[in-house]
Amino acid sequence: MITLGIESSCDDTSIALVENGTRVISSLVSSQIEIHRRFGGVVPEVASRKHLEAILPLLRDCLGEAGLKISDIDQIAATAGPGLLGPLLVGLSTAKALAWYTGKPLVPVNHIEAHLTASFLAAGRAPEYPFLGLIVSGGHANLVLAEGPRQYQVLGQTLDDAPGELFDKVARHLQLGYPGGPIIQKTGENGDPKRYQLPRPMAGKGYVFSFSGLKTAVMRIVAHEKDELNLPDLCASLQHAVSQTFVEKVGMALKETRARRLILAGGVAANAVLRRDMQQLADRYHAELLLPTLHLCTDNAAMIAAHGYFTAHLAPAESLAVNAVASWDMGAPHNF
Amino acid sequence: MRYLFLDASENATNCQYGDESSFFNQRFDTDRNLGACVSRICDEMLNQAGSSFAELDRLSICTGPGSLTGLRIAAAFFRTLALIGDKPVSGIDIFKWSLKTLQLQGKKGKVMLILPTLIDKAFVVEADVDAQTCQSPELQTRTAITGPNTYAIRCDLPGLLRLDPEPEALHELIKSQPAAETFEEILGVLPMYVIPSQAERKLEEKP
Repeated sequence: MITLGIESSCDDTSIALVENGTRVISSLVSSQIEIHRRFGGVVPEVASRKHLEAILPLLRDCLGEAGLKISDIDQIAATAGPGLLGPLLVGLSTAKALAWYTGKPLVPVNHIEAHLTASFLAAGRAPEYPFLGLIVSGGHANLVLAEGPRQYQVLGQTLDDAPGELFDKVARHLQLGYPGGPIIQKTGENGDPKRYQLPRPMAGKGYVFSFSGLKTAVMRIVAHEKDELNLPDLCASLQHAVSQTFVEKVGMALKETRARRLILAGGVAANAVLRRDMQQLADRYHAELLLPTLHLCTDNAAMIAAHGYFTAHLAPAESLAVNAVASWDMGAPHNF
Repeated sequence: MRYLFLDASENATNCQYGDESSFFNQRFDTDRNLGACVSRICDEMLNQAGSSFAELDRLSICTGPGSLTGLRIAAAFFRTLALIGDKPVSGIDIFKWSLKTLQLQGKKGKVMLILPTLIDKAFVVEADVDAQTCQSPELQTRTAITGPNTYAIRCDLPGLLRLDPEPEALHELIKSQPAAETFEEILGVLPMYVIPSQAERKLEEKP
């Protein structure tokens, strides 16, 4: 069965074709990073315009690359939320046109849930339950226990900033550029992670995350150190603080839930320090760690197609009436 | 020629179906929910017409100016249908539609067309009814706009004549205006973007 996936929740337009939820036939992404760089962040109105321009060329190229026609597609899966409404509506309306014209089913997909499926897709496997999932991105820091398709126990989430957002804000403050995550990783590559003492937010306070305090702490160091500031050491220290925050809470969850499978997902899952530390943590608990390949960490339609394939049986019957939603809790039914 | 037209430039969605001999128009109270009901609207229109998508010769959308989200939903839906369904698609802007309306009403000569925006400004277009030509829209402060032969589109503004673009004019326009047929031409059917986003305006204001 071939699923066509569409993703447009933020600043990446993506279309992919996935067979049986486990094999990527074709996956194309049109990134808007260069367009939003000058604003220092994603501008929803600008993003919506660019999605509309990019989506049809991607559709044509994706089908062309796969050597398939629209009539070869068995179902369509599209991100319906959470995300930026304007961009979401472009992708979802395109998906609806495809479903309406072909008469094929439309599966509305929760973007955050799909990030978890990306790790299984990278391994060419169907999701195996239960597993512990940590989703870390520009908009999310969620720790969940997945018990079945679309069945999640949310253990913890961030009270304020997400880690990707923290990296963006710090990079902007340090005038390093956008997006912050890859720049902070590169700048901190040879830095000393213990040079600057940064707090471990919400340490010992259950599964709750908070990253806005870290941003303030970094700014204080910058103001205090002035010309003495060692940028590589600061970037390394920041990554270390973020990563160790996750290590503490995920370690606690592995112990409490006795889960033996850990999934790291989302754009920040591309961070090398976090990947290394999570691998060490998984080894310590004799758990299997599944990591998405780097191109499956960031937003992409292959994970949407794969998640759509594995959750199609749970999709609402009237899926053409589904609207895009800015907020959509993992596992919650689509509210339309 | 059988066509289906969608205007999502306002809170309500205007649809029109037509063929060589007749047309009908229907208004749907979609408010901010067009994304959820765009396919149902198309079904309803085609059912009422006793027609089907396969029988359509042309798709058409309003390109604005107006609600950018609404215009984009309509554009995303109809452009995709045009591509995969192999149908020509045309974009109709409100100024040309208004100008055609004035012509059918028997008006002549040069006119000014005004379309208010949500901010304190309005789109202003100089146009020629006889030649059916419009200049590019410009943004001006609303209160500064006065003068004879000046029409406020779809609203009442003090001292200005009100003009509501009419279904007959749209019917004529869709039949006479060329449509996008090739892939590259279809990509060119986009909403009118006259107002830059807030972030773009801020960036332009920076030294």
